[in-house]
Amino acid sequence: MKKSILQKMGHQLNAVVFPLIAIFAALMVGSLVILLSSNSSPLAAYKALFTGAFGSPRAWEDSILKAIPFVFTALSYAIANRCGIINLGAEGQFEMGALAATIAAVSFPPLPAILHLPLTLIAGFLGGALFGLIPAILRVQFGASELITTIMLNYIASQLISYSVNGPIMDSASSSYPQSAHMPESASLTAIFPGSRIHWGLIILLVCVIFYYVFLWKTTRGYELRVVGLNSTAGEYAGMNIRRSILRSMFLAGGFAGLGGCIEIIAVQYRLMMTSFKVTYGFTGIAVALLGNNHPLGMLLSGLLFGGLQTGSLRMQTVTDASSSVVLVVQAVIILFIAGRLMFRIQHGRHLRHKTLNIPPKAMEERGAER
Amino acid sequence: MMTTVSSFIASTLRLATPTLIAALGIVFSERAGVVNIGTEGMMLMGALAGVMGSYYTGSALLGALIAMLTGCLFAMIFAFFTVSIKADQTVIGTGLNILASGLTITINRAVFGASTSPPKISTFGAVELPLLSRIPILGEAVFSQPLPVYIALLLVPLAQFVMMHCNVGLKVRAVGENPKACDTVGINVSKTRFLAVLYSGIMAGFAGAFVSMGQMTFFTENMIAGGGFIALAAVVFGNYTPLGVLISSLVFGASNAIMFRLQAASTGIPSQFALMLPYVITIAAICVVLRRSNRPASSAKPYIKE
Amino acid sequence: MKKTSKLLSLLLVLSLLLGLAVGCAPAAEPKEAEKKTEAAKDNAEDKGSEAAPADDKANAETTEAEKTEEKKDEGTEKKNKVALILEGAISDMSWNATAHEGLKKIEALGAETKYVENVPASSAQDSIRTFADEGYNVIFLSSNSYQDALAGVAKEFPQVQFFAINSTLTEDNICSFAIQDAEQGFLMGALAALLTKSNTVGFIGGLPINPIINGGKGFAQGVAYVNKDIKILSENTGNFDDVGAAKELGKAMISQGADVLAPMANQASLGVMEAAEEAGAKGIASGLNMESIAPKACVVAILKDTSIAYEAAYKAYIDKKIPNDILPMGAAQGVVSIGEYYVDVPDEVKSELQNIYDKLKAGEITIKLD
Repeated sequence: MKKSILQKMGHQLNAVVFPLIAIFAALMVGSLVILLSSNSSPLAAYKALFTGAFGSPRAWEDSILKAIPFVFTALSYAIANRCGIINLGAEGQFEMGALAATIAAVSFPPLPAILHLPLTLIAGFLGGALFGLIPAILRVQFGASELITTIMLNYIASQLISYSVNGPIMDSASSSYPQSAHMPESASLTAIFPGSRIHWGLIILLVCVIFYYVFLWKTTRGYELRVVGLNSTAGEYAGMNIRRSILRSMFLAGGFAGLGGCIEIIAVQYRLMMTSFKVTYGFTGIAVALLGNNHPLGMLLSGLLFGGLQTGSLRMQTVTDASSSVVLVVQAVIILFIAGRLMFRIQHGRHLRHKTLNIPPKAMEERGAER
Repeated sequence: MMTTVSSFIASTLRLATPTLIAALGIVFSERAGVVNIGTEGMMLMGALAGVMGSYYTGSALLGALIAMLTGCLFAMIFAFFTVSIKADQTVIGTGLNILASGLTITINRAVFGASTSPPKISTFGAVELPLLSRIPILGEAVFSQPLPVYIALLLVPLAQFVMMHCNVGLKVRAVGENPKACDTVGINVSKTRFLAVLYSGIMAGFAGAFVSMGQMTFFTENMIAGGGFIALAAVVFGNYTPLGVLISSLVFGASNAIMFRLQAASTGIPSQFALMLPYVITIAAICVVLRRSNRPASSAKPYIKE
Repeated sequence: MKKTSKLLSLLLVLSLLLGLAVGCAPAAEPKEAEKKTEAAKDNAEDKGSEAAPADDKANAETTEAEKTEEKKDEGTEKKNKVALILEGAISDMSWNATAHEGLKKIEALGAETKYVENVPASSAQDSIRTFADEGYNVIFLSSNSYQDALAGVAKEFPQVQFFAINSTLTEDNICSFAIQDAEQGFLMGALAALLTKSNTVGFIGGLPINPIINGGKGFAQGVAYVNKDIKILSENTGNFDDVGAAKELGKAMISQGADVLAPMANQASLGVMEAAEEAGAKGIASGLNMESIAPKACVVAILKDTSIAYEAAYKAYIDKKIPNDILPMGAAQGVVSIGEYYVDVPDEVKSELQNIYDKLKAGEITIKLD
């Protein structure tokens, strides 16, 4: 069935309008929090937040740098979500990617960068991907709900990090602070242009985003994955292997997150520490994926927004006395409104006749538009 | 030796109680087909509300009541989004958890300020039951605990009875198992689910209050530290029945108690592996138990009338 | 269908706008003087970055007012702007809370101060840059995990004086000051040894980072200084926030015979004190106000008042007496001290401890740290 142009436009409008409403509503609630917790006016606080995030070239740079890991974890959530899996484990996969990459980076004798760098990146990808496979295997083998296993694995991952930096990979040279050695130059990603801090990780991210798009929409396997996500029974009737799709999607999901963790360490933080993951990369990634509608471009934009929130909150704290918990509240309300946006459509109920579990929102809209 | 056994049992019970209380609530919402991922946030809100309630009223019990109300309010948001609007339960739950984390920090600072000392509040002290507390070993371990521990233990048979033999329990289970059939025989699916979620919120609030006023005597930022997720896991591991939940909570409590003893005994096992233990046990347990699961057929699926 | 949804969204936007108007209006009115200067300051700062806000005009007058005020300020004396970057929350009742207290002391000395909390090491550089751009000329870093970040950025801001706690950097504009954690541990150990009846004492650390590790070493040597035959249980909880875990660890140590516990785990220390209180054991606090949690168990606080170290460092800056070496901050500087006793303690114990403290101050006791 061909979509009429009007329908298409309405669809696009929805994809833009709802996120904007959500952001606006979130800022409203956030301003209540500011009023409650500080002597600053919400307007002053938001102005600081905004200028801190996008008010100068350096602010843009910071925001982009902060956005990169978020988009990776968003990809992780999104690709699993497309297959009907709810991956709450991007946090752990991100950390395991960082850990594997750190081990690869610091434990080899000096290698030329041309070997060492790819090796480190692959290690990061695999570290996350294999960790992502665990809940997938438990799911297809035992039917264990990934909701719970992924969360439990997050806690296990953070203990593994703590163990590693306190033991095997602790840097003996830097006193006894629990941290890995500094990344060797041969395993670090450098800036794209001299003078800027934007590193090659951004290019890797863009490649991943393109891969995400091509894989899901231009390959048979990606198509299978999406069908399974839409309606697993239908996929089964069509002779698709559901188990394999689930395993594949979680492998990629873990891989994206792992690569993100790897890049965060080898391009930004340069050392693995116990406090490396104070920012909740995984859960922020969920918000980014939701706001971006699991769409490649959408996730890039919403990732930038969340990166901006992160950078801007520093300035907000600096020039006003609003606390950073405001950003948490804003983030939460965005999630609630985006996830609850069906409230605007539920009255007709037509699109929702199929009661399939976790229909990816984008797919649902596509179907709706097709009618 | 005797004191070791008795202190082990006592700490198992104490550590199991928040999980048990929260899980006794979740077991109903789960059976009704709603996975309450927001439990963590509801517990956190309950923990702060309890401390605030106790601070202003001077009574830990009133504090707990206020915590339950707060949990209920938070659950109402969750139910509104997931039951009425039929939004994704996981996503809403995750959102609420982040919201709770932000709100509790804000409110805690606004009310108590960022001082270097916690406010003095009335808390749940140990209540020694007459006679029973004099039984050797068990008396000290089981019968001189804070009040909520007894309440939780008494609630288990009650909840089991309600769920298995009462009209309400039957309704809840039916709604989770086959909402369509319920609809045709005139059971209001949304209302039943909504109320089940509210109940789980009340219990989560109570559990949070026990963490801040029974285990601790103050509120600290993000003090629940995954307790809500453990409670969710306990329900799955306990095979969706109140009795099962009691057993699984005790297993978690015991694995935590062992973990601390392992650390203190200086066995040379890195503490991180001891700290992983409860989570590993959870995962293993879920995989084993699922083979004969009572998981409701429509778990996590919103019901849409046709 | 579409119309209804559009209408709904329009309604929502309108109602939210209304909410904005209502929500913001009352905030702007009270505390006018304060608000105006703040807004004006904001405005002045924003001029540099070209994000021109819509309400510029409204603030124009106040900006003028602010300018003249600033001129007056410069006429008398230029205020130092002091910033503090914290890795944890100021409400942690320990490391970060005392750092915050130190900042308040610096404020009392006439400086303009500001802090940011919960800054991960990966954001430390952003934070430093933001403060430097805002014209802060003294920046304190409260964690040694910021060391790499500081080393990378300090040269960009030669006009800014950095103070890094427990770091090893010594540059032209970086001054490191080292808290003598081992001295605190030593005193705690000595007191524990003086108090124990079961000849078993416990030390509970938080995250195994340098200050805690050194504290533990000091503790062991303090115990041995008093009595070589006392058994020492020593363990780290692995973090600074899990109060519950610390409490259980404390209980476990008590069930192994320890009757004096000495926690050094920031916020998590509270759990240890609770464990001691419930079991009737004694606790030696390493921070303030623990007695409110454990009125019977908490004997005394062996204080490591970092806030004094911050104050002392700032004074050295005003007096332009910053050494090229690392500044030690311990008993001799009054950073490590014995607080008041909360419970009854035999006089000979008190005097013996005081004796040991005096020897530490005079440098007659040296603690080995390798």
